[in-house]
Amino acid sequence: MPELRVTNLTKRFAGRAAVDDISFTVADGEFFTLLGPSGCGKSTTLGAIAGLEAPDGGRIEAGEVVYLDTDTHTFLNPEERNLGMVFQSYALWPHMTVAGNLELPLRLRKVASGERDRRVNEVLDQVGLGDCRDRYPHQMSGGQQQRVALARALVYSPTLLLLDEPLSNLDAKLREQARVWLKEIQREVGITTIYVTHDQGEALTLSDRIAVLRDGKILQVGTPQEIYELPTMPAVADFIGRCNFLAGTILTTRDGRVTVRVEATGTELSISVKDTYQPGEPVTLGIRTERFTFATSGTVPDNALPVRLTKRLYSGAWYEYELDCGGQALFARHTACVDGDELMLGIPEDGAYVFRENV
Amino acid sequence: MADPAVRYPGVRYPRLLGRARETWIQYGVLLPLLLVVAAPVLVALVQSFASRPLYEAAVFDASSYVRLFTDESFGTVIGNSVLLAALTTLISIVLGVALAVLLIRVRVPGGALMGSLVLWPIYISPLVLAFGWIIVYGPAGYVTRIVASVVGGQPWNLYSIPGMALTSSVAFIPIVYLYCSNALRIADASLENAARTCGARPLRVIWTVILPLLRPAIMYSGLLALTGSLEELSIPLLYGKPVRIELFGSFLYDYGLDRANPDYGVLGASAMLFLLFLAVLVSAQGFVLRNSRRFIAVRGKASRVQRFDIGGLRWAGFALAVGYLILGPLLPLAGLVARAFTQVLSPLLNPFDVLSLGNFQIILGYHQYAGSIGNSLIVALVGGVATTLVAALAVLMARRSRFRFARVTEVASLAPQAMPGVILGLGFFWTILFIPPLRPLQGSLITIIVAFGVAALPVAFSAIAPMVMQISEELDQAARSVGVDWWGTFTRVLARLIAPALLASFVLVFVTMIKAFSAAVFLGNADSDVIGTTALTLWGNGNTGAVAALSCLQIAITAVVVFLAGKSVKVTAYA
Repeated sequence: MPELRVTNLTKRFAGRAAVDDISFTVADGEFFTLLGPSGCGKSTTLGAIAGLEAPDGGRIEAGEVVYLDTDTHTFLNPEERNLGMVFQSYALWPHMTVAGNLELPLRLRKVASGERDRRVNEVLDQVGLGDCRDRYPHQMSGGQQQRVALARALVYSPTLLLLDEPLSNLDAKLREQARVWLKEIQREVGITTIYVTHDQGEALTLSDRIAVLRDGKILQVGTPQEIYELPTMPAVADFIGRCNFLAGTILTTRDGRVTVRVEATGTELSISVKDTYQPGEPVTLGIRTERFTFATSGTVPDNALPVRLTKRLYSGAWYEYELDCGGQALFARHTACVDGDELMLGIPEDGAYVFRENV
Repeated sequence: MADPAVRYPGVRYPRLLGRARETWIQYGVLLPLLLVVAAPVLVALVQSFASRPLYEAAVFDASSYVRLFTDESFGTVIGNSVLLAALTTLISIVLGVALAVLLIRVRVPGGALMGSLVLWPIYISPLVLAFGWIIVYGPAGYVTRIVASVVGGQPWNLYSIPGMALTSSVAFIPIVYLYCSNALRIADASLENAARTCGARPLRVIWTVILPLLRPAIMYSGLLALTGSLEELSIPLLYGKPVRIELFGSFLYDYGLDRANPDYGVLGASAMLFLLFLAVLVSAQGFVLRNSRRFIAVRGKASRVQRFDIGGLRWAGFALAVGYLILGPLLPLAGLVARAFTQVLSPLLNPFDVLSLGNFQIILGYHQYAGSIGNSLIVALVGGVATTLVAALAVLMARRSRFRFARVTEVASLAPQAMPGVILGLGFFWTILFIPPLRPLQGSLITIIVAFGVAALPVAFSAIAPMVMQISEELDQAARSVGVDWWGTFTRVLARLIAPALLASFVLVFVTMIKAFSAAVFLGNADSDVIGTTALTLWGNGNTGAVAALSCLQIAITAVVVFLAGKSVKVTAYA
């Protein structure tokens, strides 16, 4: 299976760039996710790969086949790109049976009828719907329709598999199951897959690599661990998980560790870092809501922020805390139930990100 | 998948001169479409600036417009036309809205039955309605004579602007009713329930909540009635001629057909002015419709429409609805049927003593008359299929393709809304006259099918477009992604899914074409007469009975087609 290369892709709607000069490469057999809030350009990018959108600039190629090159005015129609796509609404043709839906792409590829039957049965067995051949889409549940949609996208062994929020119409329980199942099938088939979602949980569990998009630009590309543990900018940390941001200034730097003064309270915190910083440099601290520790009253821990408790909400597995840190609101999540007005909020040395950008 | 070695080739489509099949089809539809829509208008435009007929050497100037404006009678024509249109619109809105509210939202005895009766005249030609009205309410009409024998003198004068307005509003009330009743059915019931809980009584709710919600429907259908009554030809022709009340349609007709030596320049100039006026009105329609979204109070789920109980007042409502139905459409149609089956229709004679099939024998016995029915059937069948096909492609090009001229396609398909049949007929007539290679087409059924087809295109487009818009675009995209091209997506997926809309479009176009005649008055000849033009000729000869018989046949044909269509699929009447 070939790799997919997207270079300098740009698409404008009414002058506004929905996709702004983005480039990425998806390796052979990789599960690659485009993750971002609605309107970030992820679906437009997928549409451009599928040929359903006509981009204003850029180049898309899958292996040797050039799908799009605006410099040479190359545009391959969607039907000639040989890719499989699963849509949010599943888009099963309502007037055809399950088998009819799966047969159409094989007919177009002039597959003989015996081979066609064999292949349809094989793929339906694979998705666990071997006995649903002759049903119509409206006679099936949402989960089953979603499986048929995937079967239809795979039955003709396309070059690429494109998935446009395929799980978003399933209810929560089913969605969890479908994730596991989808990942298994993808691994089994070994097909290069582009997945579009706004659900970070889906992205983190399914992907080999994730591209985080916002406002038509790629903010960061990396494995799920890299995206979560080492966000390169506040926007990524903010979108994946929940993160608090505090303005600060670098005071000292020593052996991969910096001392930062938090502007809101004047507290000094020691944080381990990968980059090098200069003393006096203004930075933004990012601290995930689940990384805080609560110090017991009386003891004064080293790395801690003085805060006032303003609100505590019980949410089952943990408590949600709303805290006031020198006039700035902080959010924390902890399994312990803490009381009291004034608290010290502990921050592990490896529990905060240091960003050069302002938020 | 179990067998990862499986490999199928991708799909490749042949290209002609480097262009995919869809490009050829799209241009192949758009160019002829533009040609037939634009040609009549352009020719009329050029003619309006030419001093002599275009086939002679002419000087180009604006003198025709000067002659037109200095012609006193033209001022009267404009005045009369606007007065008639305004009066018709007013009557149609008042009665149409009242009937819609009464029959849909109020508990009135027999409401459901009367609701379907009100819509019924949509299928009947205004020409036929006018015949019926004259037979019953005309100066020598059946009812007129009965009333005159009681009160003496002439009780009313149908051949007047108010008489015309009353008759043509019977043709437009169904349209107002259609739009308003649909709006009433989909209106969010919680809005009026909220008013009820605040303490408003039913009449108050109707007045303060329901009527304001109808505003967009009233505006839109009112504009339809206004443009429709402006371009209507049959009623001005039948009522206006005997008493010399000239209106736009009849002015063009007289000027172009009845004069021995017509002034083509003035004819073209008045056609252009008329087109301009209608274009403004139709653009206003579009504007009103676009802005109407913010008024629409629709919830996804349909809630059952509750009917208000207005106590004793409901009998007043009942009387209004029954009175309208009997006096407006039913009595004239009964008169028409009675006239068709009698030698003479008069209150002085028992109609059962003069029963006769003679009128039908005249129609079916003469080759020319019977032929016109055959012609109408051919025109409506061929035209219905062709127009539906063109409209379906136009809708897909406009809404479901990346065709560069998608917008142009839509505008070209809807533009004939602003083109009255008389002007289309005149424009095609001139086009054929001025382009010698086209002359063999003169008087042929093909020309009439094209002219009627252009006139019916907006109806077909509007019947198909909503259904296409309701179908998720992902269904097309799914087809494209598995390897079906644009044309294949239409034939393999969409055509099946929009089949009900295609059938509805065919029925509407068929009914429209069976009724149509105004374009044919310029384009037809003795061999290509349609029902409408034949009826007009017979009427001119004073052969009222034969006209009534022919009208009955026309209604019968329409009824059969609508009935058959209703059997297989529920057709909503689109105006």
